[in-house]
Amino acid sequence: MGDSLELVRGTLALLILNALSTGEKHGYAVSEWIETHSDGSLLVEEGTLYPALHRLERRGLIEATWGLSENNRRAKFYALTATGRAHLDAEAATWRRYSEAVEKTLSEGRAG
Amino acid sequence: MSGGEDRSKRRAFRLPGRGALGPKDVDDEVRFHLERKVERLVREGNSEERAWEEALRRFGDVERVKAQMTREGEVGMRRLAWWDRSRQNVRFALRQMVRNAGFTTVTVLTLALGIGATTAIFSVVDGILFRPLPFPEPDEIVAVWQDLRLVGGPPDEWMNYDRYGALAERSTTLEAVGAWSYGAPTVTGVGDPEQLLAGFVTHRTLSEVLRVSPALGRGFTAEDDRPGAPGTVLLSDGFWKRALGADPSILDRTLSLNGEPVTVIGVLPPGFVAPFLTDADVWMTMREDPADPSCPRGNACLMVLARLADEATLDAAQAEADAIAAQLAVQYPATDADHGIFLRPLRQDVVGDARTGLLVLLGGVGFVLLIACVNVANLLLARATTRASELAVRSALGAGRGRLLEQLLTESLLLAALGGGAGLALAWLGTDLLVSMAPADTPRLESIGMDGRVLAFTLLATLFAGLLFGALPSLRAARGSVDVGLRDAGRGGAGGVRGKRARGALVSGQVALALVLLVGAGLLVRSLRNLREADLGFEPAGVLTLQVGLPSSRYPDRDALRSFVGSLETRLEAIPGLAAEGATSWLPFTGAGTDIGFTVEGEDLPPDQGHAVWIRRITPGYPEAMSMRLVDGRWLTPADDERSGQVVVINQTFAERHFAGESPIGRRLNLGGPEEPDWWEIVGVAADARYASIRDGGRVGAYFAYAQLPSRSLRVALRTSGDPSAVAGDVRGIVEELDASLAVAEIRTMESIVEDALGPERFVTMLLGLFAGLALLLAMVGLYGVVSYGVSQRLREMGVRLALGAEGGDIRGLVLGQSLRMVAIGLLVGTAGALALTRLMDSLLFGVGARDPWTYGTVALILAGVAVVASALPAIRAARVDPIRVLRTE
Repeated sequence: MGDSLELVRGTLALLILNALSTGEKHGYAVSEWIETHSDGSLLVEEGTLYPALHRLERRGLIEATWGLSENNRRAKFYALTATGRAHLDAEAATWRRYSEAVEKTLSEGRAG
Repeated sequence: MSGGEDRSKRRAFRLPGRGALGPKDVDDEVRFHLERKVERLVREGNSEERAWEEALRRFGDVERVKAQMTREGEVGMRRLAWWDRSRQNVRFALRQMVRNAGFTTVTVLTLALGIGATTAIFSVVDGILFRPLPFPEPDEIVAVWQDLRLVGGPPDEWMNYDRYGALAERSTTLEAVGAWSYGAPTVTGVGDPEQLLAGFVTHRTLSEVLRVSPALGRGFTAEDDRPGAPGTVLLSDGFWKRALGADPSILDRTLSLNGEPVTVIGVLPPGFVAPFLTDADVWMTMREDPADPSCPRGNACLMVLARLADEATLDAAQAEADAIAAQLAVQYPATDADHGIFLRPLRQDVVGDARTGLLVLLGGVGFVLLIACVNVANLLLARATTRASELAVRSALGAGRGRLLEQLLTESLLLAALGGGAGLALAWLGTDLLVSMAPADTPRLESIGMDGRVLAFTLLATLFAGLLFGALPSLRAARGSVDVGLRDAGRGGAGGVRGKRARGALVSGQVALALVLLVGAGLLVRSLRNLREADLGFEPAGVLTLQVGLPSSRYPDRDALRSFVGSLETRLEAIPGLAAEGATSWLPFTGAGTDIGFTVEGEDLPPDQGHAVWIRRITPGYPEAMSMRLVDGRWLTPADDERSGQVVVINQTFAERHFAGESPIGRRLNLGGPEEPDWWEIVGVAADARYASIRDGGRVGAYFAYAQLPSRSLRVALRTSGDPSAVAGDVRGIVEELDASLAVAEIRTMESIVEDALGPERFVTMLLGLFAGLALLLAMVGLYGVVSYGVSQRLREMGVRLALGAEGGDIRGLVLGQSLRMVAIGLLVGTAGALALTRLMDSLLFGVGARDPWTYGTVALILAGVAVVASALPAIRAARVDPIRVLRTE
């Protein structure tokens, strides 16, 4: 994973919410989901994942329940709330506009 | 992933509260993650040891992460717990309020009245007194006056062109100096001829002193202000929109003002409201020739405004002005000796006399709010006693004191918030009402309105009210011990000595506050009556007045003016039903007038020195039309015209000041200089008449014949035997026949002019009277509530007394006596307070002292009477108690 990318500030929440949009997951599953769906090129520092999950929970964007994992161990599951879903839509739209804009300006200058 | 069943199982065991997190949970969560990671790494072929190393490495600092989660979680928890508790408190309070709907309604209405009235008055006071003037760096602008205090005049007489010129030229602490005056030219060429209000300024007044830039076109330059320069005019936004339909191509168009063609060079912005001259339609330059000004030395016909230089303070500028005044006094001893120059911040000048009245109103309405709060506090106190059992039970079940306090304060603040919300709505209506009722010449009415400042004030008033009336009952309730509460509750006890004393003190306080307000209102009412009954020196009833502007283009000289006024008077005499008619240059209470300098014949004065006299020009019929009195000699007659000897009638103050003890008849005044004397013979002495305001004391004045000293300013006064306004149409027709280009304006009865002159006094008196009435009502309700509550708490005692042989009269006396004791204390405290506070309104009073014993006595009697009425009902109820029933219910 030597060529993995560091996360741009503020994108971790977006990635977490997006991962949870496909169904509720525990923290470990969230980190695996992001790793898999970015073909291993996004490096989520696992230590920052959990505080981020808890903050999202306190903001009411996701909710947590303790349950049993697929191998019958106690695990904390996170699921998107309605607010979280709306927040994800808004954030994703902003992110797309932002990255398109960056891409467009890059293609004009020397970088293009 | 788990299926639906697991999911619902998990939901059933859901942790309490959102985000509840103990350190153990954090541990578990992190351990689960690491174990899963290790499993995967082992599956991928790592040794277990190597897998743990890698998993930990990827996770980062485990302990730091766990600590962070725990810490953040706890903060969140505390916040959540607080929210939860507040929500509970609010829910509980709302339930309480719904259950006691009557109590809630009375409380909220009382508060709404108090907060609404206070907010409405604040919005008016803020708009007029506190808000900065609408000019850039408004605090640098000062008004400049002639200070005549050393010669027995006012500190703020108008200036003349020479003094203005000297100040503008010599001052270094003033960055820009501008003069202005006003006139009423008639505009022709746009619609009907119309008399406008025009400001005449020097070229710096608008652009550099007030720093206003036109919204359209350009401002005045020195070139526009040169003597003999072609006329240019700036339009006010209002005039531009009203008369010219906001025509954007108005620039460079030519209007005709008093027959002079003037070019429109710009339009002022919509928000521009000139100080003093708020309604000006147009602005023009003075184009004065400094060598031959129309307002020379010794006169008073200009207002002057200036802007302090960046580094200069008001004190420095005043010191410099004093020095310049001293130079002028040496240079021109005849006219300028002892004449000072007085600088005053423009804001003070604009607000002027309105200040005291407004502050009195703000104080008065604050008292009403206090009384309203006291009423609510009393209601809450009474309820806290009946709620003692509820509180005791809750306390016994483990609610801490802090928790109970929180609960009670939440209830008070919620009540206050409801009252504040309703009060805001009231204030919204009230402010508009106040503005529409305010006397027309109230300064800065346009800057009054509801805005952020007013909302912030309402919020503060609401919080203040909530804490004030909530704190006392809450503290008492939280202090009370559990067993006393339970015992008292079981027995329907008297609510404790302390509670009774607190309620008694509150009632006394209310009575005291009401007394102060009533005394203030009473003093104002007496002043207003004195003002109305003051001897004006003329009789306003039955007189109709109107104003005719005579433009210099059509009436260029004295002959033209004289012949117009002559034929007007002849035509007016022919109107049937007129008892008398006449004309004057200025009617009482309608504006300034003119001062001129004079010396008395034979007076031993240093050369060039003189006195000032305030003059009116009148036609022979005017004194009769106004029912003015003659003291000595004769009035002016039609024979006193341009061909006969120059004569003058002086007033009594003039006679006393300059001819003490001798008859002035036959003596002569010199209105010219010593070299070219201009002699006028005194033929009569008239009783003093009030001209500037009713409060005006004696002022040296004189009446000249219109025919001998014509003026462009013409006001007609008509005394009719019937309804004055019936002849208005006739007069308009006559003026139109004489000259169709003339505008007739200000058709009003003299009575309404006098009423308007009393406008500010009436406004303040009426409002303070209203507040005093409210205070009286609230205090009465408060007293009634406390007395009848006290009786209901002591029914058993009354029953016992009756059973032991007390008569109904004894019981009534007991209840009345107790209530009157509270009232008596309130009256004493209130009298002391009123004696201290009414001194502040001294300048509002007229013909009555701030310590007028008659007013104090009447108010105390009224309050005592009201107190007896308010306590009578509960007293009667107490005496009618059936001892058997009361004792049996125990």
